[in-house]
Amino acid sequence: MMGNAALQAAGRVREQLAAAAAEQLNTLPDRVLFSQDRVYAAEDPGKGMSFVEAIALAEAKFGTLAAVGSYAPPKAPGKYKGAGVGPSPAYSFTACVIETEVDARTGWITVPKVWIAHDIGRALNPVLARGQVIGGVYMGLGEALMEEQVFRRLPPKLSGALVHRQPSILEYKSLTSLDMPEVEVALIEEPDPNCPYGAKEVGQGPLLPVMPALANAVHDAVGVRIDEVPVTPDKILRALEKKAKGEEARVGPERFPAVPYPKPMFVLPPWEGGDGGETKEGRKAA
Amino acid sequence: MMRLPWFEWRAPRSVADAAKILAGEGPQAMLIAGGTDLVPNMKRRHQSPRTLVSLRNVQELRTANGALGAGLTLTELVESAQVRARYRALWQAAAQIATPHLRNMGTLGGNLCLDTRCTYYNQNHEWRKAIDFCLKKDGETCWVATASKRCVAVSSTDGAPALIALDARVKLASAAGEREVALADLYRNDGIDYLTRRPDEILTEVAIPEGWTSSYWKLRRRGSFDFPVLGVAAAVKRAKDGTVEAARIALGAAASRPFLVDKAGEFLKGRRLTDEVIAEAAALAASRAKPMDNTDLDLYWRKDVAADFAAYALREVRGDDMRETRVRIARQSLA
Repeated sequence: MMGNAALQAAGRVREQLAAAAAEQLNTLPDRVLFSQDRVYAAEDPGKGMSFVEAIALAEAKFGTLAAVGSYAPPKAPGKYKGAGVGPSPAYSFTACVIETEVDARTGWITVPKVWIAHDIGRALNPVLARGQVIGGVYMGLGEALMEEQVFRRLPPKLSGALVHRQPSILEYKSLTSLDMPEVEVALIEEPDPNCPYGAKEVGQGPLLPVMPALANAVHDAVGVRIDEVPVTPDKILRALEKKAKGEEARVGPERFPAVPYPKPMFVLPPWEGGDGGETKEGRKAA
Repeated sequence: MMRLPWFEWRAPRSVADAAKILAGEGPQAMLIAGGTDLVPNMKRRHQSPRTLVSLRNVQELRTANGALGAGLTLTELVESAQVRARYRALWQAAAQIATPHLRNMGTLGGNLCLDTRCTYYNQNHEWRKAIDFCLKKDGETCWVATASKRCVAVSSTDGAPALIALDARVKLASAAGEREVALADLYRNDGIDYLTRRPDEILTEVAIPEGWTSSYWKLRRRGSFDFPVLGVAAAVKRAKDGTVEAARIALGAAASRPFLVDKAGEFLKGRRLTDEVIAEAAALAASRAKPMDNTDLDLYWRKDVAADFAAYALREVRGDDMRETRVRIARQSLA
């Protein structure tokens, strides 16, 4: 979404550059070409100037070069909650595989390697995009293995204060470079027509599959479910003890939180003629 | 922002001069070597000495022939082929202290005198003030164990358990003269008054006897930065047939002082390091670990795995190839 707005803003600055260069080149702005750091008239490529010179001309003509771009996403396909996530015109998807070694005696977790594939549309800058994906893995592993907000209540008779168990960054831990596994990144490029040059986000999308992949890898390794983050050795050991006793081999919240959900409604998908509105017949059929 | 309090700075060039300054200034003066422990503590107002006596210019603290000078940096220990070959536990401990930057500054003596740590204590002044401070500094309640009359802050030095297992002795110098004590006797199980070193004394050198095969294992969440939440050091001497002639197992970060588990060492004497013997000795050592809920990781889990860590150390001194386990635990092979 911001990419489309940035693209429009950049196009407007380009128009200013073309207008200034056209004066100098004695041509029309729409006959000005930009290529290989050069700015020149279409009819005479030999005559022209450097890109930097074009900027200087444009600044002399217009002052500080600035433009505003904007972008309004298409209308959500349905009127119900969940028909679209936020105002984005496109969504990226990420798949993640994590290799985990779990010591069944101590519950100690080691993550030697992560494979991650991110559906980016088009990688405008592949090096930076890969860095973003690896950063997502780093952030995700911190969330999966370490980061936690725990509070403890000081004895009510003496204080009653609620204090952080990890009040500073020394206690609220994220991975060090020694803890970071090898990451193999695959950028899946299928340009999206709604996006600038087909490029989709690579912000925090790649973070999302890391936590569930880690929890699934732990399950695959020792057969226990840790249904909350962080997944820590003590929880694994507790779950293994439950498993040995024949109890449910999981550690996590005991019940689903009470959420006041709206009444369910039935909506036909667009390819069956749905317009986002509730279908009375559909509900009957369902 | 946390600023340092005002202090006077003295930089003597000899132990004798430093001792003279300490004698003259009294307990208001503190020694500073690498400053990696003291400087952040001063910023948080844990200590506000009137005078800092720097040991950085004292060359005699940096000798490494025979006894190790207390002024050697941790990096120097890690890079020393002699330390690596002869005092493996110390080398493995030093290599796992803090981070490379801190090891470049921090010293052997400083690590042995490291202030005890606690999640209620190692916070900035405002945070501690908000909970009315704690027993260790400016307050009256130990928030870890409110019924406790004693501060239970944790001894967090890696060097000490390694050197206690190696049966090291330390030299303390003051204007009144020198004395030598077994390293284990340098410590007291009291989070506040954790050293038997007098304020006018300077820890000058560490003497380590030869002939021990040793190993140190550190439990912490990450491969770098973190203080130990458990440290196990083992040192043995064995006859040609593998019978243990002498054994010393020491624990760190399991109390307010590092300490020797005599029972485990005695048990090993005259036995061979079979899996069963190692398991029993490890259980004996682990039974002495009494962690408190004032460091990282789950308290009960830390107690649960103490025997496993003791067994890792004993298996390594037996000669097992522990590199794979070490890489999993320490994120480095330390071989």
